[in-house]
Amino acid sequence: MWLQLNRVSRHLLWLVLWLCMATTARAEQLPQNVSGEAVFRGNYWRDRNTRVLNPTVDIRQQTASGFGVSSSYGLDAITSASVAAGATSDQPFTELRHEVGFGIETPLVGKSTLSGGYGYSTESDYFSHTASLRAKISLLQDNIVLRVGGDYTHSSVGKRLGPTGYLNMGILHEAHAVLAWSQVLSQTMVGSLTYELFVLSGYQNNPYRPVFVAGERREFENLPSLRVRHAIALSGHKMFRFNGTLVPHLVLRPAVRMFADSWGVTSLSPELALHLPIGPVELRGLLSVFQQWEASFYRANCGEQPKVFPGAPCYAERGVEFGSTTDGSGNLVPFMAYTSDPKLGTYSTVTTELQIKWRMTVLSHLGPVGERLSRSVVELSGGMWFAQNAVGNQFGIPLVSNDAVGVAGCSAFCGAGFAHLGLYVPL
Amino acid sequence: MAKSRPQWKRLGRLKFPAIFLPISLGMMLLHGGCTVVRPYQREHLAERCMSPGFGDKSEVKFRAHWEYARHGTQGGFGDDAGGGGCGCN
Repeated sequence: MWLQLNRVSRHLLWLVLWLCMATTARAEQLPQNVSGEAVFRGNYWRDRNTRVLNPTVDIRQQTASGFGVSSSYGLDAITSASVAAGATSDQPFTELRHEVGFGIETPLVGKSTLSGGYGYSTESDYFSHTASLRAKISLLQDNIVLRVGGDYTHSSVGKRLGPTGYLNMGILHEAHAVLAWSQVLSQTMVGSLTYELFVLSGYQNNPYRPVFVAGERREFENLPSLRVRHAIALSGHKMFRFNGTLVPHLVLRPAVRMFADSWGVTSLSPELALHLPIGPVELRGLLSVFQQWEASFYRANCGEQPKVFPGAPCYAERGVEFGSTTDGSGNLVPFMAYTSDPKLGTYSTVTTELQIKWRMTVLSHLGPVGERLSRSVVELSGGMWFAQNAVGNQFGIPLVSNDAVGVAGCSAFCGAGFAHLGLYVPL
Repeated sequence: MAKSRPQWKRLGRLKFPAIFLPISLGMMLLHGGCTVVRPYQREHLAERCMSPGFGDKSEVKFRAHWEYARHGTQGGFGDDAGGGGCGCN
């Protein structure tokens, strides 16, 4: 493995050096302020239970008057997904999810804009409509940019009963509000602060995931119908200038994201990303750490169970009292919550990613078409996601072949991988 | 049996966003208020890599999507990553 990594690293290094030498010694960065762009991406995700192929296309075009339109399409081709998540007896199946969207943007006073959009997502057991509205307000000669807006999503949740059968489980309403503040701090530094509020009301259970409660196997979890989520992100972009044309600058982007919700889940996620142009190539790197603390009704207190991953939700006695509900007679009774979702537990993850973007300037000699294509950019990236505790056990692939826990999880961090291939074409 | 609190009262436990948000806003206002960068001084700020996600919205969108599917949280990737609808909980 180590030798393979070394070989891959050597090849990558040679590729970067060749790209630098083969074209020009001057940095050619991604096209900026283009009036339109088409982005084609192929995303790939691979973890213990799931492989996802996710081709997407995003197109946007802006006129000279500032009016803009955009559209997008994405496909999630999910194979070998586990319907028995939390247990070792997975039953593979294949599922497709299609997502389409379009948006329009119109200028207001000065550089302020108003935009709206609509999105539709469909898969065999989940259908959702999303409407969006955003306003961008520029203040103090663009030193401050405020973005305010909201989304409403209406989702119908179902459960597949074989190849043709379908059972409607419920409706989920989701309101999302966002307030983003971007502030120019110097000629080479900009900071931003984003606050997001999500209010989810309705059916939030996963109808496929069983859970053991007091020794009995419940077919699916019993989650509260209301969830209020808060997310705060603070980030900065700092550019360090160099006296050279081959490597003109380095941009560092530190960020921290914080979450809290009404179920008691809190999390903290610091990260550092860097952007380094070298000749016609851009190198990008990401290191992100995520630490989450569990929901107040999360329990994993059954001891060792033969069909449950270590640390996965399991309730030795009964569910956890969480708020109240009404019974059939209209009386107020305690709501007993229990989840089968390990993602509501306490765990941490680490994400690393390395990305190479290459501007196709070598095509500029091939006539008008080549000239146009020479402004396009090819992207190749890959990364790893490491997780521990129940989430690592369920989703991660053991990183060593002789892991002590074997098929029921990992003894330490487990990993998942992802990769992207992209093409950016200015319009 | 202990009497439980209604769900809406549990929102009061979310103290750290309530404290952190005004502090951060105040710090940005104080710091930014001392600096006015003129339009002709924005050569570097106009670079694509100085935009959120280094300027690649589709990349941010994909990351928000898979993190939502593999973490118990939602949001935090800017104003373009909201909504979408996905039964991957």
